[in-house]
Parts: sequence; structure tokens; C-alpha cells
Amino acid sequence: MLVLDTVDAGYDGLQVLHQVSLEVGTGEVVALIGANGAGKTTTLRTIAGLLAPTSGSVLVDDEPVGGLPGHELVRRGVVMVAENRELFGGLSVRENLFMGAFTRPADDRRDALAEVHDLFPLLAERADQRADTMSGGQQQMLAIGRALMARPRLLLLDEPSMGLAPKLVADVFATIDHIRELGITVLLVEQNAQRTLELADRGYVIESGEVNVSGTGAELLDSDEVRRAYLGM
Amino acid sequence: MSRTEATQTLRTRLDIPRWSWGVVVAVLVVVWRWAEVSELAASGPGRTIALQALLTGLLIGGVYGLVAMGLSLIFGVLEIINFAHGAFLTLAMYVTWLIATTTGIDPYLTLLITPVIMFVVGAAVQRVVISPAMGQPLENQLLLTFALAILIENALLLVFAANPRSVRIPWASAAIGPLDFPLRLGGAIIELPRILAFLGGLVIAGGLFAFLNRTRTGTAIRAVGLNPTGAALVGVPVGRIQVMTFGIGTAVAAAAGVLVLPFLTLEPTTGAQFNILSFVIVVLGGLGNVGGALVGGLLIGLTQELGGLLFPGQSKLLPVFIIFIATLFLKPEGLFGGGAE
Repeated sequence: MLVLDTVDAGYDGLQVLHQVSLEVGTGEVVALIGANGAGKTTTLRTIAGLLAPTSGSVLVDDEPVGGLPGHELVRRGVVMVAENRELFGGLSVRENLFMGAFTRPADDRRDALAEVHDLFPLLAERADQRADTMSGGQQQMLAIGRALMARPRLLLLDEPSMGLAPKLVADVFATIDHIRELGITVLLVEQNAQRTLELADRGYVIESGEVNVSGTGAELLDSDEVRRAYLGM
Repeated sequence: MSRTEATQTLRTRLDIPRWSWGVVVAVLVVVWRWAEVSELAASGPGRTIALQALLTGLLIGGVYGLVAMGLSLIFGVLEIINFAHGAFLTLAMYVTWLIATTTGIDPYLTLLITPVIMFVVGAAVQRVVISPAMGQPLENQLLLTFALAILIENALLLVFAANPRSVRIPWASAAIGPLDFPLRLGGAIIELPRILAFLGGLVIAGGLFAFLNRTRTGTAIRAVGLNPTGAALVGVPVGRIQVMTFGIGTAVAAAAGVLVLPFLTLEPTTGAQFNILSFVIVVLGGLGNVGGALVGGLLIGLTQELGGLLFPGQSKLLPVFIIFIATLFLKPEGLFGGGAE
């Protein structure tokens, strides 16, 4: 479904990604783990069309999408939940979800809303509340709900457990499991490597903008390199 | 219970809300201008003059509000201070004048034509001139729009010369139903075009509100204003929405231009006063607050006319600028706060 082939990318002359290659197959949950500043978010931004690769290719369903603007990627079913959530603070929960389905026809929107309310009943209760008055955990729910409103085939999740209390972190991982059951492919970026690798089918390790280690979740959890560098064992 | 609770906390400071200084300033102005105030209040002709100013100010204030709404929308969504807003309004008035004088159709019918033309002009300006400067420092865009204003004004001067022009509305002085226009109310005279400008302004403002709050595209415009990255993430074509927003802001100014043409003389600099007043109104109503701009417009319209009575012989802009400076000191976020909500 998604292929990155020797992708370079960065900001204003500062190259962050060096020859990054990775693949995500349909229906998989793939983890991308790495330390702070390793290039995890840059990788996701490049896939989501917020950043154009300087070389290499990004393929979605075997079609090159590198350099296309973000809204084109949403139309192709690639939707990102950003680390800082990027909600519309001054809009209500209802309007945020409504905007999530911007690319979808009206009747599709109703079905998507029912699904999201099913997954997060709280978003139905708080429909009229302004997004910026919600707690961090509720905002994360809304961010994921808003992304699901676009009916994604590939969901890019950037540190969904960031800044949340342990109880809520468990909820987030349960939600990702649920999203997998909906048949949505997930590329998950996390610092919480242990939990992420337990959940993921496969994983990649990114270090200083380079992806050198990959394997199934279990393999990575067992590898000495990963255990030493990211799990603190 | 609440009384005892209140006395338990010792308050050594008297918290005077800052806006109350506005009341103090207003009272001081009235005392200072007591001669004018008492004359207006005491005599019959004085009261008629005051009523006339009140009505004129209120009616023109509706138009000011409409112009400022366009400016506030552009600022709220694009974060661009558009100095060419008044020049666009002048351009729209010339377009209307040209259509009305060459085809002979009623100037009010151009409400269906001029704003559409100016939407295209505004959208093209955003697309070609301003969008390359997006994300650059604020003064770059400011200088761009300023240059654009000078360019438009001088182009109009070149083509139309400085001759004052106007359009005639033959049916402005007539009896319509039980009402006899111009309308007489307690000695004050209200011309029909001014009433139409006010009502038209309110209707268009209401339409803009409904569009921004109730439609998918309108919500997308607010979303882009609040968070362009978030908007791109949900699939909103941000660049296209920005082009559209500038077009809408310009079309709103154009509609106001059509509405005021029947009672103003048209020169290449006619829009300049609207430009200045719009800025004051946008600051008063809160930067990027479209609803605040409408209320601010009514307030500034009244200030201009009533203030003109308190400071006879002065520019009508004097009281407006007193309000402007007082706002910046006392409530810099505007009466209703900022934000493109």
C-alpha cells in the first residue's frame, strides 16, 4: 500500500531523512520507533504531503505521490494524526468532525460519524463543546476521530500517547487495536517502544534519519540492539 | 454564606476594570463640550440636528460594518493587513458607474454583477500577487497591498481623471406605498438610498454569517483561519480557500461600494476614507472578528456623526481617532476579542 524508496527530506537546507526506505502492506500495523529527533515525525510529514521529498520516491498504491499537497493525500486515503493534534480550537467538536470528512460525500459523512461516535461515545456527548476547552486525552480522541471521518485506508499516527496519563495511554493502544479491526492500515510512530512493538505486526527503527533495522514486532523486542537503545535494558 | 466568604479574603486593591476608563473619558468629553451638548439637547432645532446625526450615523454605520467585515475576514483567515481594501471599493464603484452609465440599467442591479467581477479581481490578486509573499514577514504583505492601493488609485486617476462623478436614482424621491421618500422623521430627513444601503448592508452581512457558519466551504474557511496545517491534514485545499477568502472579502467591499454610490460623489480617492475607518472598526471589533466588525461599524458610524456635532469645524475623523486610540490603550484586543470564529 505504501512504499518509501531511498527518500531524502528535510527543512530549509537541513537534511533530516537520509535514504529512508520502508514498506507498509494493506491491513498491517507497522511501527516506526526511534529516539527524539531521529526523523520519525519528518517521515510521517513526508508521507502525508506536508513536506516534499528532495529525492527518492513515495508510492501509494504504486502511484508516486511525493510532492503532492496534503489534501491530495487525504483524497487517496492517507490521513495523518499529528503529534500536536492540529485541531481547530475555536470550532466545536461537531465542526471538527464535520471538517474531518471534508473530502467525503454527504451520505458517507453520516456513516462515518456514526462509526466515530460508536468508537468514542464522548464525542457525541460533547458535540457542541469547543475543541480547545477539552482535556488532552479528549483532544487526542477528537484528533483520531477527525482522521477517521475521512475514511482513511492508511492512518499515520504521530505519538498518539504523548503527554497522556498511563490510564489514557492504555486507551489509545486499545483504540489502535480497534482501528486495525476496522481494516485500516496503520503506520504508528511512538517513543513508547515496548508497547508499540507488542502491538505492531512489523517495525522499523530510525536513527539519525536512517532506517537500518527492521523486523516483526517480536523480533525487534528481542533484538539486543533495540533493547539496549530504546527499551533501556 | 457568600458574604462571609467574601469578607474572609482581604482585598487591599480596588480592581477597576480598564474599560471603565472609557466611561470616564466619555464623561470628560461631554463636560468639556458642554456648550455643544446643552445646545443640542435644549433647543428644538438642536434636537432635530442631533436626531439627523443619529440616523445618518446609524445608517452609514451599517455600510462601514460591511466594509470592515470583508477586511476582518481577510485578516482573520490570511493574516494579511489589506491596505488595498478601500481601493478595491473605489474600483467597484467605478465598475458600477461604468455599467450603469453605459447600459442605462439601475445601479442597484449591478449588485449582481460588480461583486462577482470584484471577487475575480480579489482572487486573482491573492493568487498572483500576495500568495508568493505568504509566510514572509508581515511588513512584506503590508507593503504589497499598500503598493496595490496606490496603483489602483492612480490607474483610476489616469483613466477617469479627478472629475467627481455620481449616479442618479430617479425613483429615490417618490411615494412608495404609504411612505413618502425622502422620509421625514421628527424634522430629520432620511434619503431612500441611505436606508437601502443600511438594509442591504445588514442583509449581505447576514448572508456572509450564514455562509461562514452553516456551509461546508464556510466552515473550511474558518478552519483554515484557525489552523492551516490542520486544514491541510483533513484534505482542505488551503491555497484555494485562501484565494477564495480574499475574493469574498473584496466582493463584500464591492457590494458596499455599489450601495453607497447613489449618495456619494465618486473620485479615485473616495475609498480612502472607508479604508481608514475600516481599520479603526476592525481594531475596535477585534482583529479577525467578523461579527465584531459589524457592531464596530455601527458604533463608528454613530461616533463620526454625533462626534462631528461635539467638535464643530473639526474633521469628523477626530472623534473616530479618539475612540481608536482609547481602544488601543484600554482594550487592545477589541471590544469583542479577536479570532476568526
